[in-house]
Formats: sequence, C-alpha cells, structure tokens
Amino acid sequence: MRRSSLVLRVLVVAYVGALLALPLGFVFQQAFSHGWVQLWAALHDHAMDLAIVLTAKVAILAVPLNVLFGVGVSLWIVRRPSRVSRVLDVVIDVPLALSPIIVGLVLELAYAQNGWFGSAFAAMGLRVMFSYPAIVLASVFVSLPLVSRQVIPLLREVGDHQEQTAATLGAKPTRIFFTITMRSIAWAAAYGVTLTLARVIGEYGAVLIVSGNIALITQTLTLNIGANFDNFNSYQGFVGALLLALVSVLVLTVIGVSRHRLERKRHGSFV
Amino acid sequence: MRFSVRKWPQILAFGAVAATVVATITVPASGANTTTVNVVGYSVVGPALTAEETAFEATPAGQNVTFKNSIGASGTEATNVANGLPADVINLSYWNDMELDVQANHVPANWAKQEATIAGVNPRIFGAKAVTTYPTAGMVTDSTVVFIVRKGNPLGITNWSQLTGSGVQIVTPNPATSGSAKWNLLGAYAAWIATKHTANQAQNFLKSVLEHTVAQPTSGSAALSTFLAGTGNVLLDYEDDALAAQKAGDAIQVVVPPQTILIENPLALTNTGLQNPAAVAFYKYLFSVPGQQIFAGLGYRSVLKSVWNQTKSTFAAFQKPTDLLTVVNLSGYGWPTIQPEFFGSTVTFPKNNSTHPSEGIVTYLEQFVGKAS
Amino acid sequence: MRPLDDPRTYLAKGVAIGYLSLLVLIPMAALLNNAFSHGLGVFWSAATSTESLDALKLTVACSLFAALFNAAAGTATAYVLVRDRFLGRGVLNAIIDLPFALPTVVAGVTFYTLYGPHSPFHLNITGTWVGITVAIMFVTLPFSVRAVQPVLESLTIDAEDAAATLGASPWRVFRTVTLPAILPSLLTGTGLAFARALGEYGSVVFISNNLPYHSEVSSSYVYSLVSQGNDSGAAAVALFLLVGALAVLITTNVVARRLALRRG
Repeated sequence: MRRSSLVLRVLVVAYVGALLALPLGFVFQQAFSHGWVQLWAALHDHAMDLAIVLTAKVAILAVPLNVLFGVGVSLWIVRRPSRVSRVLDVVIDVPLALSPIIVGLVLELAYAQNGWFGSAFAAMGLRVMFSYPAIVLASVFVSLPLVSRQVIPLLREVGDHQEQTAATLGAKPTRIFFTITMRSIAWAAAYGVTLTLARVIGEYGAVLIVSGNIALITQTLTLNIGANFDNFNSYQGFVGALLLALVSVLVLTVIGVSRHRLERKRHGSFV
Repeated sequence: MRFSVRKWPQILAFGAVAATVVATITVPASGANTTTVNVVGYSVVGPALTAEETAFEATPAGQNVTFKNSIGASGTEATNVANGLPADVINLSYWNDMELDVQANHVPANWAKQEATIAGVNPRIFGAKAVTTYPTAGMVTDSTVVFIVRKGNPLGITNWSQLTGSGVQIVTPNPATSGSAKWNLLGAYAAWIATKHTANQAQNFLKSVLEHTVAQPTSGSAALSTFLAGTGNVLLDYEDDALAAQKAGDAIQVVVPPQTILIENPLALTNTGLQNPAAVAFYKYLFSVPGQQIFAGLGYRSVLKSVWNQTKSTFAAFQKPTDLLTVVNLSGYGWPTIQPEFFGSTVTFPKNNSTHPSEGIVTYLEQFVGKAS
Repeated sequence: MRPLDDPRTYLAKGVAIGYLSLLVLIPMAALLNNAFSHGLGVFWSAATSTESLDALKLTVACSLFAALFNAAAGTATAYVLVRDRFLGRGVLNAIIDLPFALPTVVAGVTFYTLYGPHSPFHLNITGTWVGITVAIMFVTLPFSVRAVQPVLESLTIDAEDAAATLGASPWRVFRTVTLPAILPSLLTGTGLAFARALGEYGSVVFISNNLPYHSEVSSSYVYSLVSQGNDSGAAAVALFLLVGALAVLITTNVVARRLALRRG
C-alpha cells in the first residue's frame, strides 16, 4: 500500500481545508450561534419545513431521471459511437456552461404561457412555468451531464472485453448490462448521483426565476434561505444552509462506508 | 448486502413511476371555501405586505382568504407576471416595472385611477387640479433616499456634498439591475437641483458620486449585506429599509440628508385581481387608515393625509417643501421621461455638448464608476 | 459493442433524444431565436460593447486560472484521497461536493465574511480578481477531483509499483505511469470546470463588488441586460459565452478521446 508523501498530504488538506472546510465551519458556527434549543426551533419553521418537502419532492424525481438518462447516454456515446453520439457528447455539456440566469431566461422563453412551447401546454390546460414541473425541469437541466461525465471516462478506461466475453458465452444483453456493465461503473455512477443530488438541492439562480418564488408554495430550500437572508433573518438562512451541507456530506459518507464494506467483503482488503 | 440484480429494471421502473405519481398528485390542499389572493411585491416591501396580510385576515373582509406571495427583485417580478405568474395585486418599486405588465395586458392601463375609484382615496391636488392618474396617483407608499453610515457616524456625513469628499467610499446597488439604485441616483441628482444647481452641474455631481462608488451589488439587500460586512463607509438606501435594518439591531445609523427625492411605489390590481372580490378588498385595505398605519409603523411615509399627520413626528422633517423633490419635479411627466433620460441604454448628446448627454445619462456615467479609488 | 442489436435500444435512443429535446434543444432554439431577433447588428453591439468586453476579459482570465489551478490541485486531492490512508480521509472525501450543495447566496455571504473587510485572517480579497478566482476555485473543485477520482480508483497500482521498484522517483512514476492514464478525464474535467466557471454567478458576484468595467463578471453583465428588458442583448452575450465554452469543451473532449484511444 503506497502512501503519498507527507508534504503532498499536508498541502492537499490545507488547500481543501481553506477552500471548503472553512466555509462549512462558518456555516456551522452561524447555525449554532444561538444554541441547540434555538436551532431546533428554527428547524421547525413552517416556511422552511415546506421548503424541505418541496426540495425532497424535486430531488426524488430529478435525480433518478438524470441517472437513467446519464447512464444510458454514456453507454450510447462510448459503446456505439456515431455522428449522432458525438453531437450528443457536446450537447449534454451545454447546460453546465450556462449561467443560472440564462437557464432561467431560456426555460422561461420556451415554456412560459406565451412562450414557444408553453403556449401549447397552456392550450392543454397544463401549467409548466412557476410551478413544480418548472423546478424539476430547471434542476434536471443544470445537472444534466453530471452523471455521464463520471461514467464515460470510466467506461472508456475499462473497455468492453468482459461484456464481449459474456456475450460469446450466450448471456442476454439485459443480463450483461446489469451484472457486468453496471458493476464496473457503479461507483462512478454513485459519484454522479451525489453530484447530481448536491446540485439539485443547491441550485438557486435558475430555480429562483422559473419557480416564481411563491412563498410556501414554490420555494425550495435554497429559495427559502435566500428569502431569509433578504429579510434580515440570516440566522434562519444559515440553519437551512447547514441542512443542505449536512445532506451532501451524509450521502457521501453513506456511499463511502457502504463501499468500504462491500470492498472488504469482496476482496478481503481494499487494494 | 444482497439484492438480486435481476430485479433492478423492475424496481427502477416502479420507483420512477411511483415517484412521479406521488409528486405530481400531491397538490397543497386548499381549505374549503377559501379564496386565494396572489400578491406580487418588490423585495423591500415583502415583510410589510406580510404584516398587512395578517392584519387583513383578522378583518371581516379577510375571513377565509389565503394569500400566495411572490416577493423578489422588482424587474424580475414584473417580467414573471408578464410571462404568466399568477397575480392579483402587484406592488412594485417604480412606475416602469408596472408599465411592463400593462403592455403585457395583465394590468389595466388606467391602474393609477384605482386609488380613487376603488379605494376611494381623495385624489392628490396638483396645482389647481385633482389628479387621478399617474404621475401623482397609484402610489401606496412613500419613502426617501437616505444614507446609512457606521454607528457613531465617524466621518460626520450629513449631506450629499460630503459624499464626494476624499476617503469617502460609497456603496449603492447597480442601477441596471436594481430599482433601489435608480432611486438612489435620482436622489443625488434631485439634491443638486434642489440646491439651485444647473442640470449640467447635477450631472457632474452624479459622476463624482459614481467615481467614489466602491461596490455596486445587484440588489438593495445585497448592498446592505456588503455594507454590513465592512465595505465602504456610506450606503444609499430606501428610508424604510434603513429604518428596518436599524431596528433589526445592525450597527448602523440612518442619516436623512437635507434634500432628497421622494420615493413612490406603485400598487395595482391586475385584470384577474379586479375579478377577485377578496383581492379588491385587500387593495382597499392597503389604502385604508389601518392599512396605512401598519405601513407607517414599518418606516414608510403614509400617502393618506390623516395617517401622515399622525405619524410624521417619527420621520425626519424637511425644512422646505422644495427640499423633497418628486420625479415630477425633475420632469413634468415623471418616469416616462426620466427612464430614457437617465437609464435608457442609448446615449445621446445634444448638439453643442459632448460631455453631458441628454439621454442615457447614468448609462454614460457608469463608465466612470470607481475611478476615484 | 453491445452484442445483439436490440429493438429496445432504438426505443431507448428515441426516448433519450426526445428527453434531450424537451430539456435542452428547444430552450436553446429559443435562445438562438431571441439572440438574433433584432438582427445581427444588435447581436454584435451587445456582445462587443465595452462593458461586455471588460467583463469577458475578467471572466475568462479568472476562469482559466482557476480551472488550471484546480486541475493540479484537484488531481493532487484525488491522488491523496485514493492512494492514501489517514485519519480524516473520509471527512475530506465527504466535503468535496459541498460547493454543489451550498446555495451560491450562502457561499457569497460566507466568503465575504471570511475573506472580506472583517476577515478573521485580516485577508481582504473582495473587489479583486483574486477574490473572484478563489470563489471560482471553490465552485469548480468538485469537477476536477471527481473527474480524476474514479479513474485513479480503477487503475491498478501494479504498474506504479513496478516503476517504483525499478528506482523511479514518485514524481517520475506519476509523470510516466499515472498521468497518462488520468489525462483524458483530467482534460474533460478541466474543460467542464472552465465552462462552468464562465457562467458562475451567485458566489462570484458578491465577492467581486460588481463594479461595471472593473470587477463585473460576464454573468452579472448578462443579468443587468435581462433586468433592463434587453432580452435579446442578454441572449446574445450568453450565446457568445456559450460558443466559447463549447469550443473549449469540444477541444478537450476530442483530445481526451484521442488520448484514450491511443492508450487502449
């Protein structure tokens, strides 16, 4: 088991500490600045609770959608390269390069009731903009390439010998996919999921515009935090921020621990 | 942890379907027999509107009324309403944002008349005439542009001319993105006009103010946060926002300059709001004595004479009526001319003057921002 | 190559394209339409106004610096996370995605307090390009780390060990064995980080103090155009930025693919 030099380790910890741990520590400090009792009361703030539920509802839909799409499109791009797949490769990165204001503007242009597509939906009696579907749309939009960008390099690196072998042995495509392909990209996909989840629950700018920011109805947790900061309620804002940070850390810890356990069971020790 | 990978597609598919069904069919249940009023407001007035709604719900007209609030940057809210955000009552930062929704056919063109015809407020007298249209009608609250300085006022700032002294660092929002910033800059201009300067001199002063600006955050509240975090030594803001910040315990002091501009914020019932009796009742409430008293308690200058007379002792007074200018004083038509003259994106110069534009003044002067530091 | 050509793959491809259209292609078409709705002249003047160019120069410079710095720092971080075992490694791994989860408004306030006029470290980087770059580094670190991490994890260290026993220094081992393996994903990760940095708004706009022509970033300039009702001007500048970002993304993707093909 090789170890990197102590110097490198110290440098990395210092950099990540200064850049990430300090802000996290600040959020902690602010959220606990009035003690545990106040924190507990703040967590039961009506507006924030509704926001938490809405954020969860958005994540439940947006994250699986992105995983399905991400894994599927990655397989397409790597295993069945074609002109179409090359264009796809570029197109799925587009959302990431857009600033959130533009994301909001563009979705509003297309889906507001007087927009391109929105008028068609309005005629059918469906409201897209300024409601739950718009938030899901914006969330999926901003996190579109996050899963595939994790999975594609790994698929390329790993190659498809195992799948081909299995095929010659007579296994069906579905079986190959689930037993071999999924296993090899499982952890890359898992990181993609954590990135997507973090991005979805943490998105502010685009959701601010497309949701209409209707208090208690279309305010996700990030919007609730923003509103609290605007109303001289920064303590409440930091409590919400702490919640978001903890969710992201928790998900990653769960993945790290379960992975450690699985690897230990499989190999006896992590190589 | 053992699970059969064979069942994955089924589990995934079931999960996705279940999630979609659950997520989309759970609509927030509205109580039986409640009417919904959709209120849209600019960011600063948010807490005041919430207070008004709570008080209104206690009145007989407000029984079984549910409010849905969308509060945010004035321009963004106006654009959203134009794009279909449900709105019955709209309170925006300044006239142009309201006009955006008039042009999008969501607000009637004669919205300013609602103050007299619906709320029954006696029209303001202008000169010899009673006026029921913009630019003197349709405003539900007044305020002024003030300075926020550090507690104790270490630099001793008491009027506009000191803002361009050496070492003074001004924080004001970006006029392109903030209604508050537009009022702030008009306040500077108005102060110079009120002290008998020419238009050119007033423009020079504006240029000086911008040169001493060290931060132009995108919104009024971002500007307040920036100031509270230690940047700059004077912040320009709405009086009501400043008083609220002071009340919230921030280490600041509010200084009302001797001359400034009167901030007037428009309120209107939309086309859908006019069909909604609860919305109409709420509109009336905002202009009524109890409604205006709530505004006054939160730092707004009331537009009703009776309430203003009751509460004016809590506000800084001006020596002469001409020390507090309105947009109409700056230009007879108010915002329709002020907007292109100051904030239009095209800069035009009169024939024999290539340094003082007649249109797009602030757009032109923005290139000098921060030059003094 | 997937062995049997399944009719279901065509259905899947169709669904993917439909999903992509609804999500990306239609809004992008709306963007294009809006950007050119007032003609090429307005498009060009909006995209090349002095304020736009000043913002662009600042944004590109800071984004480039941050992306490149994080390419190195992110690789080092991923390396330590994957190859090393020390107390707190799990914690380090768990906070890498924090910049994604933390809303930009919170990041903005936090950075301003930590590295502004009231900084406990007496370090005031607000209103400077350093402040903007640090905010961008915060936002783009997850890209660099997570891009390299899965590949590093899948690499066996036999080759590295072999090189080491043959007497190569750790740095040489890294340069000749590890780096070529992770280079493709590092490239795409850095390209992605750069593209993201170009559009970053919330966390950057606060710490920059947002002075037009001086410390205003392109995304803030776009927001000011939208707020003034100049949708087509905003769309024009956004398109400009997008084309630049796409150029970088396509280049890094193509180079990464060539490198990967050559290796495998």
